Amino acid sequence: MSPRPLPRVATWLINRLSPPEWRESIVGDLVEDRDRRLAHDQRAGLFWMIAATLRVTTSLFVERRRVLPHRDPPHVSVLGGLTAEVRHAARALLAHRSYTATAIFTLALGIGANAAVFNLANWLLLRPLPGVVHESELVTLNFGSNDGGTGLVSVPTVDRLAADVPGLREIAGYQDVAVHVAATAGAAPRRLDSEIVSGNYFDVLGGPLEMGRGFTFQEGRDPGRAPVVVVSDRFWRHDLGGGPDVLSRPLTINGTAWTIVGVAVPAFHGPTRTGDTDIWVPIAQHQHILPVYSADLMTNPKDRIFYSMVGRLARGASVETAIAQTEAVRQRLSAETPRDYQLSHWHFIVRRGLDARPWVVERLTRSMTVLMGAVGLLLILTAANVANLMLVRATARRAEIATRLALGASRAQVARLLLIEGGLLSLGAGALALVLAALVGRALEGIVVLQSLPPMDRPLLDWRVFAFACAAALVVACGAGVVPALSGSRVDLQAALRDDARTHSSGRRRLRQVFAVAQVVVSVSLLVGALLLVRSMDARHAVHPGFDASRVLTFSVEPQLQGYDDARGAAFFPALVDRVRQLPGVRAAGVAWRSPFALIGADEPVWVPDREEATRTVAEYNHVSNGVFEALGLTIVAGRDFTEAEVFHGAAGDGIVIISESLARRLFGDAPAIDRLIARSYPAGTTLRVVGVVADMRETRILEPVQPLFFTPILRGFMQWGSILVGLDAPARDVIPAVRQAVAAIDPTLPIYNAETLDASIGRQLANDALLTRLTTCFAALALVVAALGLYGVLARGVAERRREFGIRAALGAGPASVARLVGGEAARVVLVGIAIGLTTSWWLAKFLEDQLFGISRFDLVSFASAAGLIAIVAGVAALPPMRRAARLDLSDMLRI
Amino acid sequence: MSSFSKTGLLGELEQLVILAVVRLGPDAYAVSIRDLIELRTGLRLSRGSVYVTLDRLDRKGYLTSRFGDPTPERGGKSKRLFELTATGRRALGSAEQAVSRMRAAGPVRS
Repeated sequence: MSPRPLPRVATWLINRLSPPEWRESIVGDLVEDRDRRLAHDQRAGLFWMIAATLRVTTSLFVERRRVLPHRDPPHVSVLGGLTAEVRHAARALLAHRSYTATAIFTLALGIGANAAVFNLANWLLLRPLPGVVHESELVTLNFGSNDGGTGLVSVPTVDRLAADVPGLREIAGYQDVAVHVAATAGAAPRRLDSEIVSGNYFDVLGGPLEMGRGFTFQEGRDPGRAPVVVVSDRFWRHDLGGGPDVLSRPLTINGTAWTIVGVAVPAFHGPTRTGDTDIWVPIAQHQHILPVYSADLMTNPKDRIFYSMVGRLARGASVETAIAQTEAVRQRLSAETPRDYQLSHWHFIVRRGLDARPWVVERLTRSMTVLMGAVGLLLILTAANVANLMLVRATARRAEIATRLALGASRAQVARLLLIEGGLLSLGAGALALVLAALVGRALEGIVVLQSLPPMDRPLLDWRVFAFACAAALVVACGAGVVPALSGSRVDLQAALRDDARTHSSGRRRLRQVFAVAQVVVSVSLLVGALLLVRSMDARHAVHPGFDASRVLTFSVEPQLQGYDDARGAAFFPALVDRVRQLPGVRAAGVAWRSPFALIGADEPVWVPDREEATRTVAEYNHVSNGVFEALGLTIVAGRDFTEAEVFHGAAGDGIVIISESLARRLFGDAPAIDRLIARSYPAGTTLRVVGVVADMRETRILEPVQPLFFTPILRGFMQWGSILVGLDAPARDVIPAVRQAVAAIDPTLPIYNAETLDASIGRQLANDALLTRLTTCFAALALVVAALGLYGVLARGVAERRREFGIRAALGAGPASVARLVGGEAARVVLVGIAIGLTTSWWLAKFLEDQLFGISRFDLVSFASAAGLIAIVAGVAALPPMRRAARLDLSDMLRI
Repeated sequence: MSSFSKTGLLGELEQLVILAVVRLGPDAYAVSIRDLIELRTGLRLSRGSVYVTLDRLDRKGYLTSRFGDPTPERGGKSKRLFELTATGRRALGSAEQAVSRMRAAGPVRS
């Protein structure tokens, strides 16, 4: 009977580590040895076997390595030689400091820009949310139509979902609400973003709080409990002093005393990456937060309150399960209330994870894609630039490399040495890039990045950014290192030692030219993109709202949050407008239901009675007091403004309307509009008499075409909140403090908010585009500089290498001008080819930019031509010094090699 | 690097292994060599050093090897059998001579 074979691990070791001629006999010897030991009742188990195998194999392995290095298998020397090679490469880099510094800095620019943009994207879209555990189990629920309409859900509906959707372990509703918060009882309150939430909100998210606790079941249920609140870490530190005594401290919210029971973890501002919430209150306390809702909000399914819900999937349940189960609940609810349009037509929309509202994410993703594209191009450009630097250096090291080859180094070893140099450069660049990215992050800190999104709390660099920078560095090391390394290792010793530039430089010069062309191509593309964006931005800024927005100040107040009733609210606004009109620097003032460009829209169909089919027009509407048009600087082209009596006192204002010119034209053509009637949809059958026609203006979105508008007198029912519009004769910063005092003189507890010129309101609508344009322009400018330096480098190197050729030409009678022309010709070829390819590439790339363009086509001739012209000029400047140097070389210079 | 001495002298271990090969004749392989050395000298050499020494002597050209027939008790694996070469015999001779001459010489005057 043949003996047991050796354990597999032993044969594996033997085959891996010992020389081939030994393998079979070692196996046999070990089998023999083992069986002899067993026969003598000695132990020879697996451990013994492996120990014996290791003894033999490692000894032989070491012996072979020690004695005859040139017979080593190649993988052995890769490991063994690496540290030595790294040390060698580092020494070589230190010896050429200016080369090293240039390469590291150029690479760091490319990688740093990428890391900065990735950092921004990470902050807005990817970063893990603090205060949340197992985000992958969480789902966000909304109620809406398939075409993007979204609505609110009631507290009883959330309860139904919690009871009837087994796929969700827990579910909590939340809704953004503004509140007036005073840190101490006597202090002036601030208006802050809060979330009114289900009692189990913090339990669903799952993370611990920084301090204290979330809400109890009873606190989320019972309106009779004392009001409790959780505040953000930011609010605790900045407004409450950051002391440990914060818990159980009172906080005045909307005029009522609340008790702080918890502080959320740092950087938690609601269950989305774009949240900006500082205050959380339980839904049961709705009467202090949402006075417009009825007292039975907790039980009334008609009182819809929550915009979003967050749920945690039950173990083993998928999003699809949750979708199916919520749909079943929706169908049951719809059957119970058959006449409810939303319940019968809409659905619960369940999305995995926590995210901002889908359109915000989509908009962010689009902007980020453009930025990522821009910095990606910049990275290619810097890589090409550094590849050229490395190539030039490889050329300069011909003799060294040839000597190495002659002394027995293999081509692979030399290439590896160059690659290691590239890797070291990239590591240095990666480190520097992180610093640059942090600096850019600091520059972005505090900037409101996008409208309605929070500023970055701090320039954070988490491991993803670090990983990104390292990965980018590695890719560049290979990209920028491989080609020069391959080209560098193909050297003929004799020629190299003679330093014969003619023999080998032409192929390599061609390669350098290719890299230079690549740089021109990339910078043309970036320039075209930046110019398209800049010209779009100009077109946006050129959109005129119909009045001078820089001379109108807006600010808003919401007295209802301070517990004002209708009567008090009605008295408040006339008094405030009166006071504001008396202030120095104020030309006119009025109050409007909504401030222009605050992104709140309201529209309604109107028509001429009896001619509904022909004249029905959807028009935006606003409720305004007298003085608003004067404050905006809008001309009343026919009729008159409202009177004080129509606006503030009783029924005088019923049934009258002021319409915009474009609405007048749609309804009445060229006929006079004054005293004509228009019919409106709500309440059905009512008509309004036109008392004035006012010039057109843009009102909600600056970039949309002018909409037809109508204005009705602002009446008492709307006086719970309002925006004061102030026509300015003085700079806004001088008037704003006076305005605050005017409000405080009437009610010191009432905060004002959104105090800014309408110019600034418009600016916020354009902030996203402006930031994108600014960043892209910066990247394009960087690209231009790097490409110019790259071209200069190639030409200067070419001049240095062709000295002998130029000398011979000069000896044969060529003048300085014709020598310079040779250099200029090379530059022109590189640039023209680069521009031609670059414009073609841009023509294709521009389609990714289409969403970001405004007022111009993606084939905008001006942008393309300007980019080409700009590159040509900059290239000309870069080519001048090498041309001049070539022209100034005299014969002796040229022939002295 | 001292293993390949320029003088061609043998180390102690190398001498022991060569002597074992000579004594064992046609059945000299790693296991029997190690056994014999233990039997005669009481020294149980480490498994690794036997192989290393055999490998080194082989590459120096002092030993030559061939594969024996596979046997069932070795799991069907051949032995690697060693034999002394002429060079090996000379090296052994000169090593022994060098040692005996040193023994025969008188004390060195300082």
